[in-house]
Amino acid sequence: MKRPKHLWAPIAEENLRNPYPMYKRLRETEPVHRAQTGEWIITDFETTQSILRDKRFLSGNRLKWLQRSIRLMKTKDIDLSEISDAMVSFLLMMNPPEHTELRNVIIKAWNKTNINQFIESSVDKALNDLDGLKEFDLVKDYAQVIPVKTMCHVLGLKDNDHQYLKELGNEILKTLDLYISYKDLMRMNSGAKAFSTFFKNRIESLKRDKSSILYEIVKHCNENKIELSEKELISIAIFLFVAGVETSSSLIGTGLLNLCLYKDQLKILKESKETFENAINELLRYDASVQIVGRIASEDVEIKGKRITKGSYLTLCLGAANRDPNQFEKPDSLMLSRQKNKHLAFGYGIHYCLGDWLGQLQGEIAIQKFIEKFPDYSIPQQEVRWNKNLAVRSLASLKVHPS
Amino acid sequence: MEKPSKDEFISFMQACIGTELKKDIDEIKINTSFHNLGLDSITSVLVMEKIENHFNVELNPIYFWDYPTIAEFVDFIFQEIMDHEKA
Repeated sequence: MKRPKHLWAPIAEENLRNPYPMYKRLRETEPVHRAQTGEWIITDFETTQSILRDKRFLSGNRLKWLQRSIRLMKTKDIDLSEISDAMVSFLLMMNPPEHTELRNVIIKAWNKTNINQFIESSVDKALNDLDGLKEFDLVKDYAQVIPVKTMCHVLGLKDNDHQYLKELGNEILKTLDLYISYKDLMRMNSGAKAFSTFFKNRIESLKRDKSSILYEIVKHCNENKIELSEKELISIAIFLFVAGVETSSSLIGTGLLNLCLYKDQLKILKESKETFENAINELLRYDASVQIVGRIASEDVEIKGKRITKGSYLTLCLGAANRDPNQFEKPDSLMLSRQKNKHLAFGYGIHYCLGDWLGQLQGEIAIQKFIEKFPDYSIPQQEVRWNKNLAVRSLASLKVHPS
Repeated sequence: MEKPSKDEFISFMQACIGTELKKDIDEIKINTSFHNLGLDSITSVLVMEKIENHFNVELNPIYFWDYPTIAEFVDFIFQEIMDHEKA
């Protein structure tokens, strides 16, 4: 295929493999760029950060679009209401005051005790399962295993539910993708239905299970006289699972890939010359899981000389902001010892990722233990396969030789 | 199915868009942008689905924006997709 004709080419294969040259062209040509698709593409750090903290820009552009699609489809007797039901309490698509209230409920309900131990034992188990293999898939056999277990643990679900939910999660994740086809909508709807049914069948027992975050959420709502319908509670469960799994799995997979490509940086970690906390932050800055978030302008706003009219959609490229040379020295180099690493991989402002600590913790434990067990791991393949979703950047698979 | 001619492809697109927008086919000009014809990102989803099914091709929703008139769209399909599939 020839070079895409537009600056903004989020589905071109070369950009899915490596979006950073496209971001650079956009940032250098026009950091606030009106794309052929009608939305504004933001690629510099300063503007991205200022929009994320600006109350005039609201969340939920995807949800609005989906709701309009669902209404149109309904006029054609196509029922996609499962999608909007499943997403009714997706925090990242909500706005104050509902957003503030629900966010506080979830933060208070989150029980952080013993989670460290739980993750360590899942990582040990996952590594033991790799014993003796000459080759394995880093994504399916390791990176995905840990966050799926963690989120099932948080929600109070059984071990044998892991695989089923993982597959459903992928269908729902499509809701965050940029441009959606009719077939995507159908798949999302059936995925949403299956997810909702799964939780509907278990919701009564999860609400009574003290080990489940849902128990704490219900308890907190009751104590504070906050109304929460079953539909909303189920949507929270779906959101936590989807938001928690693919992001952390991507951090572990992409992180281990990048460390393998930068052997000098891997060596720094092996020799304990840098903390894993700093290393994870730099891995996140360098190649973030969540590359893109959307906003809608609630009024006319002028930014960098461009007039953004009320109702416009904005696509904020977090991955591009994290490579802005005005903010980061040598932005295209992975430097685990980087100082002043105020990246936007977890977002910024009121929607700052509320599971950042959990993603970070899983990343630290999973990467550290992996390197200890397989200090000489290598990647035999030339071409790395990425999933076709620029919004959430993750490996489709990655063959690894443990030694 | 046999590889369609460009004219067949164009007529099919005009018919689909006409149906979606409840307009006569004569009003669906091939050099007017989809946007100016009256399609948006949502109605285009339905049009693209019909094209995919009828001609058995796979289209990404962003093509609608990248090639924003029937003429450009069909040129692109014939250059990049039909030929690739044949090869």
